[in-house]
Amino acid sequence: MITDELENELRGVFARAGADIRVPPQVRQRLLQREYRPARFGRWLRAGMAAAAVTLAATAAITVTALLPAGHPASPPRPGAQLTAWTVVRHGDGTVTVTIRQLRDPAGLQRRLRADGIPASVTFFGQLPRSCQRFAGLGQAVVNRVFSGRQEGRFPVMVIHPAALPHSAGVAINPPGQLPVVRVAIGLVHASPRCTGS
Amino acid sequence: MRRRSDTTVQREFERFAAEASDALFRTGYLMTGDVRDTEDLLQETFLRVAQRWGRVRSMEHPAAYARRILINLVLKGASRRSRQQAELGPQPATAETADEHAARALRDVDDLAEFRWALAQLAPRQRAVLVLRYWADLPVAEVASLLGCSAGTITSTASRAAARLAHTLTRGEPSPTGSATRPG
Repeated sequence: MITDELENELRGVFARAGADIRVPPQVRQRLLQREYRPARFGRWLRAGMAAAAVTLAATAAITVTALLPAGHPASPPRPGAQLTAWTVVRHGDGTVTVTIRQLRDPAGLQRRLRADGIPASVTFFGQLPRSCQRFAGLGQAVVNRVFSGRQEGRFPVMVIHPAALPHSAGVAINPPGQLPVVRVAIGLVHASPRCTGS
Repeated sequence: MRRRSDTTVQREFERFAAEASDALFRTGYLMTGDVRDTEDLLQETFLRVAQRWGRVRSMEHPAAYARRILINLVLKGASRRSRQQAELGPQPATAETADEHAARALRDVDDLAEFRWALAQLAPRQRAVLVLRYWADLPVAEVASLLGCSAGTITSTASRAAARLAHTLTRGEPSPTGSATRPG
């Protein structure tokens, strides 16, 4: 047990000591200026809503949602049915299709996109790297020309149109590492050697 | 239309973060005794609240939800570092005397920075019990649930932690372990 007298003293001194704490202005500034991207919906968007979710502004993320394969990552693949974590396909019309099935090997995906001529930054921890800066101020029409999205089965598919990329812009893909549902965010950033490799 | 909705949600969240940040910072700082740790934990708290904002925004007390996330993050971090189970032992036989002595020492506190420094010298689990009970004003049962122990353990730990706090305040000696930074 603890005496009432001591509890009263503890409450009193904590009230005073807590109220006396001043949040350093630079800390408050850093905390509040960060882009947190609050979710509009209580749960991740379901697959059927994905197509409608690809028309966000340049400063916001494009959101595509899919369920991850059951048993990921421990279950052994069935013969002939092994799924790669992601696939990048370059088409004859110059567009590039990215399908993400599992949140693995972001560096490999980033290398692959860059090798296909797309200045790209890929991380799988749900936020932009510090070296990247969002490409703000673009109209909706520009963004829609660069990206589109759809579902293929349970997986989100992003279609990138490199020819429509504005000058000095690159692509950032940064889904949060949430399981079993993955929300894939894609957006435009300022291209730079540190962020997008060129 | 959708852009406008997203902007509204963004502003709503920003307003929430601005209003809740000071109280959350104080709780985090009292629990960790370190400004940088508190900033990191608070940033992670806001990220998690943002991810669930669609649900959190309709809650009666979103700030209480955020505080709970913060507390869990602090405790998770503390449990990685600490040897805290040893701190949750039985109460000493001279508890009544120890409580009286502690109450007297706390009544005499006039330097609040000194108090926070002494608090930071406690073991993480002891500090958590005191902050959750007497700053966050959570009921014993809720603190017990958060810390995964019995209500009796919480009250005995509070008594023991207060005695140690009083000892540090009156002796002015830092604990050999732990460190604290003060908010700039």
